[in-house]
Amino acid sequence: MSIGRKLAIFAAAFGMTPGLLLVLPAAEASAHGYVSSPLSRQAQCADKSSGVKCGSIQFEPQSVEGPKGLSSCNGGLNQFADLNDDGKGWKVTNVGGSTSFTWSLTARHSTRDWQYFVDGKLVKKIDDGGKQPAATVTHNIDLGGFSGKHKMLAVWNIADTPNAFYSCVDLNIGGGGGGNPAPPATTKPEKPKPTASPDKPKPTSTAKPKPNKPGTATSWATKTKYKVGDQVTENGKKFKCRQNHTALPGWEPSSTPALWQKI
Amino acid sequence: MKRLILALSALLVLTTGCSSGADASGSDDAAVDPKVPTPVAASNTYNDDDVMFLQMTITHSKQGLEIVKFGREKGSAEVKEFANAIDATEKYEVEQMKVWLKGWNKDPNASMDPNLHADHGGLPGTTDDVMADLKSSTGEDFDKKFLTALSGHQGAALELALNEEKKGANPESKDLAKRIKESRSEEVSQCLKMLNPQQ
Repeated sequence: MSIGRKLAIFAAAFGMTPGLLLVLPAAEASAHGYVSSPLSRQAQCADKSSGVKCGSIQFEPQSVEGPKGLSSCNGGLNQFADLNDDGKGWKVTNVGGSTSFTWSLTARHSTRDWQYFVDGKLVKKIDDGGKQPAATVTHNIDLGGFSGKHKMLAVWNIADTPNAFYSCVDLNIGGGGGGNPAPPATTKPEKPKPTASPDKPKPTSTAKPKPNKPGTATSWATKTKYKVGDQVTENGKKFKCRQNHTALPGWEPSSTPALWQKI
Repeated sequence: MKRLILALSALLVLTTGCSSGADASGSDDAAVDPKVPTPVAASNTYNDDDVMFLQMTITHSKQGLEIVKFGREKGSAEVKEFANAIDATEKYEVEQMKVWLKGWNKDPNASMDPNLHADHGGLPGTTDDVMADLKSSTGEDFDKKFLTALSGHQGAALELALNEEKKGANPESKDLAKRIKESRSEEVSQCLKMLNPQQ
């Protein structure tokens, strides 16, 4: 947990609550990150189109932080227990013998090393010697010794704290002998668990083009592609699109005058 | 702890310099479309958490807008449209947050070196080498790097918003935090989708 401390530092820096200076905890890691490609379990939680339902991890896939040396997917954090559930219907990524793993980092803390485990066995360690991570962190891992479905645990060990960040990636390793990166196609897991709310339609992965006759206002909807001039209604008010975009939750016309003009 | 104190003193020096700065600094590039109506002041109920949330989010968004600029200039058509929409919405949010802070007589330009801060547990910074990397890459490689950097950056904005939802007192700021939570988590989701097209 770092946000409280971030704010404390901020407050102290601005002299808002000088007393905080005295109670600041010792420095701790605020580095955050997770494997974003192929989609790790927490990335699937954050990817709302994945169809996997998760708890609070969906808003902070970068926060799976725990002491070094753990072998679980949730970094030992109860609130992220979803990540340990092998039967949750995680998408499995088809990979070849050699596969690139890319990390999404929200903060780039000095790094001891990166470790990749398959079924608990260390297959690769990249020593960073306490450096700050590169601008884009991508590692090519030879998985030639494995075939079929396996669970990879990717670990980011921070240099100057006792902590590490954990990401589990479900893989179907095929093609045998390494060297050839296979296109990252995926297979659906055989038995996806029924989701918690079957009445809710599964979010579609692509934006729907909206057949919108000029001058006709339709009800504003997320995931819809809007073009300049398209008209929508929201809570009885009419708006005209100023800029081509795909609507997202939080971008309601009434609160995004940069995208929508009230008419 | 020594490092932390050093960082704090550095921040203090730094912020004294920044907070008295003129409004114009850095805002030229973040200009909102003049056709867009000017944001109105927020209500007068607020606490320190609201002020910090707005000040930190302004700093964070400004940095995000620099990343987004690369996407608007160099991305694929899909990435460009995405980046343009983020640009428009966040520029407006920044203006809105500034108006709210000014209405409370708080400094809307309180800012700091995000890189320095990031090293010590503060605002996660997207550093110069990330910017340089985005500047020098092209094509698919650029899209991938851009979306990866953006997913990280927007993920950090979410943390500020989650904290504000819990601790803030100002209804407008809390509503903004709710919308930031929704939009940024969806943006991260879109980044992941585009990064993993086959999945």
